[in-house]
Amino acid sequence: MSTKKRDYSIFEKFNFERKPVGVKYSLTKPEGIEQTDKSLALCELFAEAHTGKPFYVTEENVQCGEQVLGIVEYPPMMYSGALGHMYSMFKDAGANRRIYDYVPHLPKDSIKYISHATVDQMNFDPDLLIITANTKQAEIILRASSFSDGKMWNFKGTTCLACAWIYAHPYLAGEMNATVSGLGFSMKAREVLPDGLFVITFPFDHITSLMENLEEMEWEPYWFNLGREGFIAENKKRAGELAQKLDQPITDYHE
Amino acid sequence: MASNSQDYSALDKFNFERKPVGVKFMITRPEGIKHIDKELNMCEMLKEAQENDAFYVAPDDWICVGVEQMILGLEDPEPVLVSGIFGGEEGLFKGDNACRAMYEYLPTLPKGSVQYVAFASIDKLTFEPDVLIMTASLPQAQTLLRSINYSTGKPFVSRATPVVACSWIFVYPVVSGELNYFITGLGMGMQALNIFPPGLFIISVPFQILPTMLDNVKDMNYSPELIPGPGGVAHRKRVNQFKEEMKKKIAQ
Repeated sequence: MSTKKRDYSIFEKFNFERKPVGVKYSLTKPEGIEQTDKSLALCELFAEAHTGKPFYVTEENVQCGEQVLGIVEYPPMMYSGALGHMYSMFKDAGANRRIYDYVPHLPKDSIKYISHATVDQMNFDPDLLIITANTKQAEIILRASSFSDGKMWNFKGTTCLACAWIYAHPYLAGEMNATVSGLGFSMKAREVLPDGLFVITFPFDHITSLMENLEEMEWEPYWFNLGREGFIAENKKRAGELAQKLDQPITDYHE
Repeated sequence: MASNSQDYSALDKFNFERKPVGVKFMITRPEGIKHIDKELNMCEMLKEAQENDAFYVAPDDWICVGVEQMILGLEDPEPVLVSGIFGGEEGLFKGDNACRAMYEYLPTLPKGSVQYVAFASIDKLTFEPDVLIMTASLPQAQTLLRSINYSTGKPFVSRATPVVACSWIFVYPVVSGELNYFITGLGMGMQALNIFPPGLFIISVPFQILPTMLDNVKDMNYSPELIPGPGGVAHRKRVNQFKEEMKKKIAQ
């Protein structure tokens, strides 16, 4: 496992109630981290990391969602869609079955060990950084995600297998993803998090630019504190000045 | 215009015969750069910037058949172009319909978003480019095309059409955020203008991924010549041995 090279201290500024969690996948046993003795669902692992020391899991510790990690294959009961109706997730098996055509999972047997550590305890540069944030924090994080490249936020998810969109999709697609706690069926049933928190996952190749953007951008632009009428008036004034400078027609600009 | 704060020294090791060129799209007239004083097609401007001082191009300077104004969002496309009749009748396509269909793919900048385009070779850059364009030999391209894949695993892909190469070299990377490359000799207009010898790689890296490329190139080995490999038997022996070692490692 590669050792930690990056400085993640920028995240301390958020004062998160639940610290961001780094996740590392490996085929070799992680060094300097203990295996947990618990049995947890994949969607519970990052929440478990919020509460204590770094740990790693193998197949024996993952009680649900292990298919997403490519550790085992989906059993026919899942793959057929038969379970979805029982859980009241889907109208029928056909609707449930369809999701298996696009729900992402890691290639079979491509990893054996999954390490988790909060951002202040990581001894590795993570494959995924999972941030649990309130709306104010999420606004800053999401704005930072596109601050330098203008990329669209594109949140993908399904009623079931929320873990796939947190642990597999960002890693495989190289895209940030986000969900809101309370939307994932089993995560809600397992009471992983209180409802209404953003769970935002960044893959390894987006973490550096996220942190650079957080360093550079204004976290709370004065625009947020003008009130509605103040915002409209200030917008008109500043946009008018800019239009004049750019020799553009002065119209009602608004972003 | 944001001033140039990027460190490009990672590219020094390539010792390019033709300098990399930075291009910036702007709505305001650039300061400290001279106005172009020649009549050139956009694809020729790449060579002009490699060999001469930095310059900018204003809305009235475009002289190609009208596609430059279209891809830059300066003007709406002319019917004679987008109908396909121009390419179809000239024999570049089997029919007008094929040429018309091509316009569905051509990337363009949003209408009215750009007025000026600045060009400067890498040693004369005074601005942060929207796209950095490198003209590379095969050994150089081997490293440069890997430079995004190296840390992201993303494939390198070339998107192009036989005409309007400028849209794929200058605009597509910026609107998609993806590296793109074009091989000289494949673009019909560029070939007609005798800009570059055939077989060179024109590699365009947009601002979104430029820091990633520069970071990775720093890390990556580069040889100015393609070194002959050890051959099938020796290569297979080496990789099989390495694979066995890795198997032992993951079995522990």
